[in-house]
Amino acid sequence: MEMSTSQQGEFTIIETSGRLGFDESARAGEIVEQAIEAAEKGVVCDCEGLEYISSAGLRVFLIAAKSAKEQGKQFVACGLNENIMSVFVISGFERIVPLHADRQAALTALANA
Amino acid sequence: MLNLHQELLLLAIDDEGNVHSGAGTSSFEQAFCGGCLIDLANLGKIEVDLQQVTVRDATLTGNPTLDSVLGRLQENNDAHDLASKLRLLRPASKELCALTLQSLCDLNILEAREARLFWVLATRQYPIIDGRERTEAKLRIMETLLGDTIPTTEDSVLIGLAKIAGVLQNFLATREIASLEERIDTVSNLDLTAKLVEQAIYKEQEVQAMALLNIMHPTYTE
Repeated sequence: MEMSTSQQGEFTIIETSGRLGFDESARAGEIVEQAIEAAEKGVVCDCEGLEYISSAGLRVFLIAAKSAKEQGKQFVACGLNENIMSVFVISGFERIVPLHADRQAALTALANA
Repeated sequence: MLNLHQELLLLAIDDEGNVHSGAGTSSFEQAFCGGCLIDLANLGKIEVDLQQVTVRDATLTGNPTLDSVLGRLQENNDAHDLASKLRLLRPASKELCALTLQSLCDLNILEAREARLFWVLATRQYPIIDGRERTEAKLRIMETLLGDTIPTTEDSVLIGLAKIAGVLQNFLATREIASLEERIDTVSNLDLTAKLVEQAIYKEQEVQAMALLNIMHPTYTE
């Protein structure tokens, strides 16, 4: 798994790729938590390169959404491939983490929120 | 803190120490086995995705119930989805529940006591010695259901499994459950493993209902 963060205005972008299973979930959780704390208004998790997610990996997103809400910030995800999208929808995560087609759509939605 | 499968079983025990009658149902047994799978996933012993459940670390956990489940999964560690793993575990559910009751007795949360049902039938009761864990689990569920926060995965899964297993009724009135239905649906099973357990149970209920319908009305087709 590769994960990097960058700033785009008031929002922090997390770019993630590869595999997000149990082995990667602890490190991913730390990176996401730091990004939320550093973000001014919100975080976009760009999952365009994410190829695999397991139940353990999905937990990172729930913890992130909960943490962001508690800090009064927004947390959204974008660029999910078909398989990852299925996992989110089956697990009911689309009700907790707003999903967008791509990074631009996510940033626009956040800016207008 | 207790594991999910221990909390679920604790919620199925009433104040007199009787195991709730619903604990013998297919839904409870499957939810309980599902709880064991979720505990193993949380411990990193198994990896669950949409397609399969795989054992990634077969070293013992020290919990007799989970180790029994892990052993069964390891013996059948072929690539199958969660529904088939639940079918594999289901015949052992009563044995797994007995191991869990014993573990709760070992933790001095319950005590096992022989009793008589209708003065005739020998039965076993599990009076609660230390009610803190059960009270805490109930409070966490109530706080989540009555609040508007995003629940922790643990609370979300406990609510989801308690709903499927039919043990929410042990401490919530039917009308309360009805009034909280939308919130329960939103916050329950925010976890892939739990959601796959839920789907597998509902699918089996559907198959059983269709089979029953076909017996009662042989001419009925879907």
